[in-house]
Amino acid sequence: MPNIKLQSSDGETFEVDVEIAKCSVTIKTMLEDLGMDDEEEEVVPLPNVNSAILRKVIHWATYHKDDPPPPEDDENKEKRTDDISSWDADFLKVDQGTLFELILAANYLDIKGLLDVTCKTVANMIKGKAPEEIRKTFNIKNDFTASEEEQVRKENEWCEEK
Amino acid sequence: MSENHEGFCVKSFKYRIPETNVPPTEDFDFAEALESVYPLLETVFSYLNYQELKICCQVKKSWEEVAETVLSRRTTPSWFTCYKVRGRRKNKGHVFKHSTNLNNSNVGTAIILYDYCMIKLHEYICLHTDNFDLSRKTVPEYLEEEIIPQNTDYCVLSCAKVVSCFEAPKEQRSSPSCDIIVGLIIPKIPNVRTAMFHYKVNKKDATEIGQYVRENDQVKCLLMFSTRNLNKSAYNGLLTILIPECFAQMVAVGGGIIMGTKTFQHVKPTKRVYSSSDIFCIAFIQDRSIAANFNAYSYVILGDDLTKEDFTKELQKFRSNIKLREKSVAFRICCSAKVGAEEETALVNKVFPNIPVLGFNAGGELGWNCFSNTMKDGGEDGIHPKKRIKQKYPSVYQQWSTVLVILTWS
Repeated sequence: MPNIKLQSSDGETFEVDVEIAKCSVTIKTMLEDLGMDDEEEEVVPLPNVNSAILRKVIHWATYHKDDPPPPEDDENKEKRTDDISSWDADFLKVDQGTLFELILAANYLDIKGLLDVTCKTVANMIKGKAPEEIRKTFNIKNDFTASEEEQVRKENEWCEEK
Repeated sequence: MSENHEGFCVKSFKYRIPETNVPPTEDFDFAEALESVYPLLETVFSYLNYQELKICCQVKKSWEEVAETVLSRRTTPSWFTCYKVRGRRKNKGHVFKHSTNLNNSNVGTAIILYDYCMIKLHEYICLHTDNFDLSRKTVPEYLEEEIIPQNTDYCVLSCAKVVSCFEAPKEQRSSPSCDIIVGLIIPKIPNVRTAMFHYKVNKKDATEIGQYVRENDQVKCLLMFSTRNLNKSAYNGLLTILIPECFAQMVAVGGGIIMGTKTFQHVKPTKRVYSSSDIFCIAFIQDRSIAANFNAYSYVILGDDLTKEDFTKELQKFRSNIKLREKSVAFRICCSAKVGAEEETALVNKVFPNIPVLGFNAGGELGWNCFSNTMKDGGEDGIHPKKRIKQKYPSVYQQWSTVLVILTWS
């Protein structure tokens, strides 16, 4: 299998199997557009991803290299978030800063599977919580005035007490 | 919970949320970061269901905006149904089915029908708690707790026989089975408002209706339900208030005699007692000055002795005279004395595939013809072209017929 070199924003170079790197649509397009030859010792610069995150992304992509392509999104279908594999759940035992950087990297590199699973994790941080608990989890300041809050609570009321 | 319970469990489609603990990072504002890169917050919100998004609306102003945006895209109607399967012991039981977007879809109006005779709530619904407690609950109370979000207009109608069809029947239901309880949840339709209200026939009171249907409003569709067989003038009184005579045939009208109603409304005016002679109305209303990509059609298929082929032909005629938009729902109300109507809903589903059909048999059906597309050019097919000239309210009172109402929007 031919390899490819990816360079992180802080200058570290990672040698990766081309097929694994191609799970990133961004890299795949770059390779196709540039018509990179397998024999050339080209380095793909990734100025938006630091080495710590790139290492994690490659780790994830290597594990998931044989996954079938994720299904198309359907706005009207309920998306499940209880189907995160235990490997992914372990992989995502990180702090909020790292989780965000992984989301950014998945978004920039256009890796749908990784973006899905990271966003699902954030969604799970929101699910089943009351507004105040969500604010606490994300350290969000409530910017509604007391009367606005009453109004918005009335409009969106549902099983808060449950 | 006993495993032998034959009923369905509304809670079973609510799945478990995996415990997720992502500790905060020092000097890092996760929420702000998510908002700073479009469309990350939207992507995260796309994993939340209707209720969860409604809760996000209350977190902070910018979240409210994003959550509303995400909700506004969920425009496909959702539904659930529970029906009884007869047949051999092994297959016997109650089936609960629902659309994949039941929790997900935006909620505008919900209409729930249940079989007045069949329902014994504690037999059909398993609560995972105390069944005794459940047996004392009414169907509407239970639904309010489990399925329908508060602050939405919704109604529960009990009728003699519920016959709905929400998806093309993949497997033939073994023997004729009846729906016990079904619900159709119509999402918010852009620029269309729904009003649910009771019209007090005896008082001919227009002032209260004024709260729901305002001066600049144009009623596009009116569904009427009453628990008593009223005379024609009762309906005409209501129609005169709601629909200017010159627009009469541009408004889809349907309805029927049912066993009972219970409504849960967003707008709660002064509490009042509803009498059995009230007409319960669901109106789909458009502001005259705002264009909406919304149409409503109604058609009365007359005749007690139509064959399947005749009925299908009628449906095809209706279909060719209307323009279906991206999303549609249908209502089918049929005379309960009609013979051979068992399969009608399925036939409707065949001619109008992918359109959920909420249907029941009524002790008297109401409706008139309205094909607004053909109104202007007279309709080549000539469905009552004469009535058009004589600008009068057509009769809503039907016999031995099936009334079909279709709402369609994009």
